[in-house]
Amino acid sequence: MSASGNGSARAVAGRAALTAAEFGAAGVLGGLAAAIIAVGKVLPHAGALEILATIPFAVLAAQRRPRAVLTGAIAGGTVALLLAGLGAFITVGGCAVVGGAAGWVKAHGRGGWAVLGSALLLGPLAGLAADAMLLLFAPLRALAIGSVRHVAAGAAIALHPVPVLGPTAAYLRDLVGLVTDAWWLWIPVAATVAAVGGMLVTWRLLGAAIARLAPVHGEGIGDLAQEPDAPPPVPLPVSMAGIEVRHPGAEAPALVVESLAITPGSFVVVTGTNGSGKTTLLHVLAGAPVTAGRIDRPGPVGLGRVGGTSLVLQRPETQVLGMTVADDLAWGLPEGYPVDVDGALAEVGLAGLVERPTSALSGGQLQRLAIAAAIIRRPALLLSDESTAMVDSAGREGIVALLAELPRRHGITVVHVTHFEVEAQAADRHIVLAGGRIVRDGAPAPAARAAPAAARPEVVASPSPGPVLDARGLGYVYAPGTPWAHVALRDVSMHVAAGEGVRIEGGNGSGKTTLAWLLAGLLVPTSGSCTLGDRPVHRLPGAVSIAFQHSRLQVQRPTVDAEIASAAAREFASRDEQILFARRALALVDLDGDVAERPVDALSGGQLKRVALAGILARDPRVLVLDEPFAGLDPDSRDALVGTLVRLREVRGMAIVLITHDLVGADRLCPRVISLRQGVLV
Amino acid sequence: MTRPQPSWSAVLLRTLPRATPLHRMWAGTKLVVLLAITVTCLALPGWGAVAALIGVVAVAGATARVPMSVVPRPPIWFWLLLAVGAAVALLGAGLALYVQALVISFGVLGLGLLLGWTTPLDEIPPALASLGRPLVRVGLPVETWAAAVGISLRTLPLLVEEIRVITAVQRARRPPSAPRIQALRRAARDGVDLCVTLLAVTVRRAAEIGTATAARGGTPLVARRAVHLVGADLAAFGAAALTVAAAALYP
Repeated sequence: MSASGNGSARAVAGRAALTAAEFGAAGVLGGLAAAIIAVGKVLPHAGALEILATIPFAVLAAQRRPRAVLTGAIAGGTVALLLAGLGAFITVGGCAVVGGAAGWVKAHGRGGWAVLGSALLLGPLAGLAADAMLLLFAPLRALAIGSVRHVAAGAAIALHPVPVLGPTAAYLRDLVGLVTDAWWLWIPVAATVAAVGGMLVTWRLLGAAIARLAPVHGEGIGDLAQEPDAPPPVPLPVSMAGIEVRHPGAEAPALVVESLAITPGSFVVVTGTNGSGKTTLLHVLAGAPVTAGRIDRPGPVGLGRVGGTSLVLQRPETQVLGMTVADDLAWGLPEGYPVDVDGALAEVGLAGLVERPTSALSGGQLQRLAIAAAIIRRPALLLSDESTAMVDSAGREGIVALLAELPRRHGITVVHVTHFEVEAQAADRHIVLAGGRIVRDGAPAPAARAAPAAARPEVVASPSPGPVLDARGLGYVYAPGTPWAHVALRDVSMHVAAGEGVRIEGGNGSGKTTLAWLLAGLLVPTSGSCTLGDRPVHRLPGAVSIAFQHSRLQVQRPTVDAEIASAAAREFASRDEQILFARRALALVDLDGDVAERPVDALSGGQLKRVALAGILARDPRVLVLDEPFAGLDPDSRDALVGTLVRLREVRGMAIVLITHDLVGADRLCPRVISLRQGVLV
Repeated sequence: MTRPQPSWSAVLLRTLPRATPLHRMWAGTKLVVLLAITVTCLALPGWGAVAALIGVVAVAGATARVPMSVVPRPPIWFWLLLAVGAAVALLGAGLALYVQALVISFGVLGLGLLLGWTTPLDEIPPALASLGRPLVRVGLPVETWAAAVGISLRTLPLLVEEIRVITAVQRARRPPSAPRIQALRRAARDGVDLCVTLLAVTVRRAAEIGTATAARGGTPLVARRAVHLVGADLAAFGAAALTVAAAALYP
């Protein structure tokens, strides 16, 4: 197993239909290409960006079969057509050809000469196609050639009296005349030059992109070959013996199970820290292959099939695939399958939202929708992969209660994987994993009310030298003056003093994220002001630091040391100095200094969050705004992070504004609470 | 401060909250008519096509009750550039051609915007599946392609939000004062960082969508929806026919 994780896609037979992973990659990367092209077309000065749209197709072609590239080109082309017209559609086509060729060359291990060769082949072909079009559409040809000639002639007349420019313009006019006379020759020549240039740029960027993406490998569920003609699924009871799962390139196995059996009709909760192998166990239950060992089931797993196995995932926004609630429930169901939409929605607490676009649902609602889409298939086995990790504590309780009822109500066996030990309380069986092994398996232990760290009240003794950040009558309207105008924030006045911790609390749509952006100076308020000292904060970029919820968007340099230097706005003469600086910053967030030299894409979610924070702290901000810093962290990482932040607040006098709907540890960090409801302070 | 302007991401592909004949029209009709008019204008770009295009955009815009506030306003230098182009074209005795080319580009763009403003996005994949039905007989996986378009459209708002966050991070990182030449270098590096970061996030999302697709039983087919053509659809086909006729009669 020396191939990387994505290599398994190649195992799929050449003419087989798209796998789920190929389909997902085609849709998502095609959409990215379309977005890049549209930005280039809509913003005239960003036109040069359009060449970058070859990269998504190159990555697609390097990892997937040509039919996935074709699907991506069709998806991207259609979206580009909708966004910016026929020209954008054609540009996407060109980018797909150039990027696809570069990616194909990369995947087949050929070098620069193959790239050049394919450009020299594709360029003239595209040019000849354009020739054929212009031959066919003579009036269009007249228009295009005519306008170029007239502009050249006009420029020559206008510049005639100017000493040097005049003759140059006249010369250019004659040149344009010559070129346009032989347009059928020059178009293929220009196309070839463009193809060679585009291919070389793509090839260089693709190298950088692939190097960064190498540590990213899918979990493999989407790569499983489909089994349309398989017998009816019977996933349970399942028993495993001597199972071992080893990810490609990893030294230690991700999972080792001596023996485990799951019988029908129970609610099983699996807990463990990050990297304990719990997700791997779930994937084995979902039908992922194992490196060694034996799995016995009466029939096929039937992932996603009626009566088979359903899977609910962690990220709300990427597992809901339809554009409206009704669409999503029906997504992927066999034609003619009776769908009780209202019943399913009522059961998960989403009654009456059938027509709602999925983009308007909150994270908790999206997770409930995913559960509805799972149970509508009447699965024998429902697998939940940290489906509560990204949801607030109230939403979490609701989802666990819903899962716990399924065995009794529908006879669905539920295996729920989670960070949160509490969620095992309602389980029939609690499995604990550590280091890839089962360390406990049995009835859940009675609630051990572990008194949280908040039990020791911290003295808020920091001196308050007046407000650092001062907001007066702050308001913000999105898309003002259009029918979509939306008042996100109205007349908010607040202040934050040095060494103070303020938590902003509010539900979805309360405007707390908008407030965070305004406090950090990233948005210009549409009314009121937000000042730091006596200057508006939006004129002081970087003075107030903000840590975003999605750390992967914040961490932008390829390695940890470069990232921390960049976030701290520092430049170093040598890499050694930069690494030393990064090590000191990493110590602030309790991360091992050895992380400093690693590529950022090889970090776990928890590590990445801390690296992002280390970079911000290295700039020594007076005010730090944190947007959902605990989402997706396991309890240990969260406690460590809270401890670090409390120390910084008390010792350095850093002011902290915290936005979270997760209350554990929040009071210790931010004793003062401000509540927002629909954009207004209450 | 200038008057507030909606950013391009705020107005593209967002449905106007109205109930007009254009909103009731089948998405497939709008796609076919848009394509027919665009191709006509490219094939026969003359005064007939220009006049018909202006007419279609004006009537459709009025019917859909599009407020001027949602129309993107290019910056002043864009208009200056156009004016310089017009002056040069006038000197070169090619003003007529210049105006034709300009009006056709803007008109076609306007038609696209109108489609976005009057069509809920979830109607597009089923319409594509219906339009592509003849190709299914040839063995092409049109329904899978339509579903992939659905995924692209579904993930578009996520992309927009991610670009917003990435560029915000970059703005916050800029040192308070930097020499101009460094600012230029930084802008180039920021551009590449934006794309690579976006790509890293997107590749992960691609894997997640793949897993979610597998969890729904594998690569799907988009369900076609029943198509009910209304009067507005016939009117739209009429407008397309009129454009073709005008373009052919007055090339």
